[in-house]
Amino acid sequence: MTTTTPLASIQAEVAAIFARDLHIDVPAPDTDLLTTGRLDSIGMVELLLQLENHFGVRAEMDDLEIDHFRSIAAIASFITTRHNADR
Amino acid sequence: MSRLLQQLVSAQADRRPDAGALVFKRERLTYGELERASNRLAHLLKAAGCARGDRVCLLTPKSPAAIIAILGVLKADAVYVPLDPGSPVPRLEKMIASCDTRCILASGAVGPTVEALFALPGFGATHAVGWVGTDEPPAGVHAEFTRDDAASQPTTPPPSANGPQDPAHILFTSGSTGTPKGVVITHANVRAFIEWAVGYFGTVPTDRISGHPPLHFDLSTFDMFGTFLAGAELHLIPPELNLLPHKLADLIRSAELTQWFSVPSVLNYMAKFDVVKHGDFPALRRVLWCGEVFPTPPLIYWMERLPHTSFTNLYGPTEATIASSYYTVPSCPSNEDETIPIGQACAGEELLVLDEALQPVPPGEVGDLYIRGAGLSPGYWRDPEKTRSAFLPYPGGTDPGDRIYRTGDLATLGQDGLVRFLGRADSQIKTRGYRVELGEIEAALHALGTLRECAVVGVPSQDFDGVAICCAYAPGADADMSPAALREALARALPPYMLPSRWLTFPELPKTTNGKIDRRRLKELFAPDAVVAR
Repeated sequence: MTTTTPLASIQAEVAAIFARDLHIDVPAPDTDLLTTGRLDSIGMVELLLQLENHFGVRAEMDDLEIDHFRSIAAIASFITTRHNADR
Repeated sequence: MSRLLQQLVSAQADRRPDAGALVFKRERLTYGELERASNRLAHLLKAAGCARGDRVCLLTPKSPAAIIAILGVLKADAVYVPLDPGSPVPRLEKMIASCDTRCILASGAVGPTVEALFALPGFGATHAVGWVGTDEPPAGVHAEFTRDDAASQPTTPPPSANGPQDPAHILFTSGSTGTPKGVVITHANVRAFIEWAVGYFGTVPTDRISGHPPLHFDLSTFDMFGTFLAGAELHLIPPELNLLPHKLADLIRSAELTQWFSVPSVLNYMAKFDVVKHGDFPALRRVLWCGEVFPTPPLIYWMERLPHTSFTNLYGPTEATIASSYYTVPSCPSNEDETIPIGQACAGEELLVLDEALQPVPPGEVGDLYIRGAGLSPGYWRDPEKTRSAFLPYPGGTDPGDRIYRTGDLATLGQDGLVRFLGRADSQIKTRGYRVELGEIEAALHALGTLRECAVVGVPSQDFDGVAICCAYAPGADADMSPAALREALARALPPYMLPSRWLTFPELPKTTNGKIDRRRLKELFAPDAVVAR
């Protein structure tokens, strides 16, 4: 049985990427990044780059859905799903 | 003859009530439905005390409900003021107060914003909300009326006393001293442009037209009223699709859009992620852009892939209504360094390149760009001083109504009769099509009271956003003030598109020999290779 990174620690790392690399403070894992205008297309480009650097998630644009990026929690679940799929 | 903008819809509803007018996600409205719904709302607004010339603020994200609200306000002979629902409450309050408005129409995910506004001292006593969404208003929003109340209202238009010279809307743009400026636009201003555009582009009832910009952006008035003049179908683009360029491409493909109009950064974003295939979008007849310079490399990307599509650059500030000049690119540029002209004036407009004495500069020489003609706004809302400094009498003119607008842009007029844009004469920048006064950002930073020094500069971006907003600062007592914390504090005062994307911290900002902040040096430090974006 393989050990998986707990969702909470992935969430914390995604939040750290927002603060450190995107200079965006996100108050809570379920804060809606889209309706609050926190995540825009410029941030998106940087985010995809950092997700690849930190988690090795190389996402094909065609597979991405808006709901994957709605919140830090959603991004963390997306990363987890990707990891499991790659395994 | 429809002289007023709302009458364009009435005319189509008379002739072709069952033709499609509006599409948004799964919602579709015919011209007949749009006409009846907006007539009902107009009656309701009048019953609620809205009088001719009153300003009605809209806190309505792009949706059919928002378009019905716009038409309803116009049919009540009132003036619509589209506010950016993403703007922070203090900035919204400034705009609402400046409009001296009572009625606010709201819909969509704006509950917390409306609640916060009504929590301000005295706000509730002088303002009322009408909920125009198809859903119930959120618990914290106490609506004076809702869409249900409109159901019993007449479906025919109320009598109208307005004329073409009456204001249709007020659009707020960034102001260099920290207060947004309201630009008053008349029915006649918009008519002049859309009549030229529908004629020039040959828009027909079978056209399916994109509605990409948000409603507080003046380009949206071309999408709406141009579509309604032609009797075509407007496809509102859901704003969240902007994050994922392949979703935008999917929508153009599946809705078989025939016209795409957006700021260049969107086209650039789609090119960067290579979501356009060769021969893609077979129904697409024309791509138009406006708001900032579209770099030539992504233009080549688009033109190579869509040989069946025409590509037109439109140019013009809000003060001259939508656009004042155009240039249809005759063939795919062969050289990435080629600059695309802003072209020649649309019918009824004139572009003038003048020197300091307001005399024309010789062809090929740089001058200040002025606009004269049918698109010129009457001026800034209740600000005669700013109006006088930007709208000048036409040199040598005899009619006092004959004015020119100082754009603040630098340009040349070529021997070929085409105008080329060269940059700004001041510290206004364009980022993703938004016009931003860097002074407004600095004013907001100073107002935080936490920084010893700060400066905001614009640096050309290697990315697709045009110009990157860069902030250099020296922290005050809280020496640990991080860019993320500062950005969050600033986000309470400014809309997201005005927030700096690059940051540098200094013990003290670099100075010139005469002690001023050295902005040229800062720009060098912010150059793309010097710092990581964001």
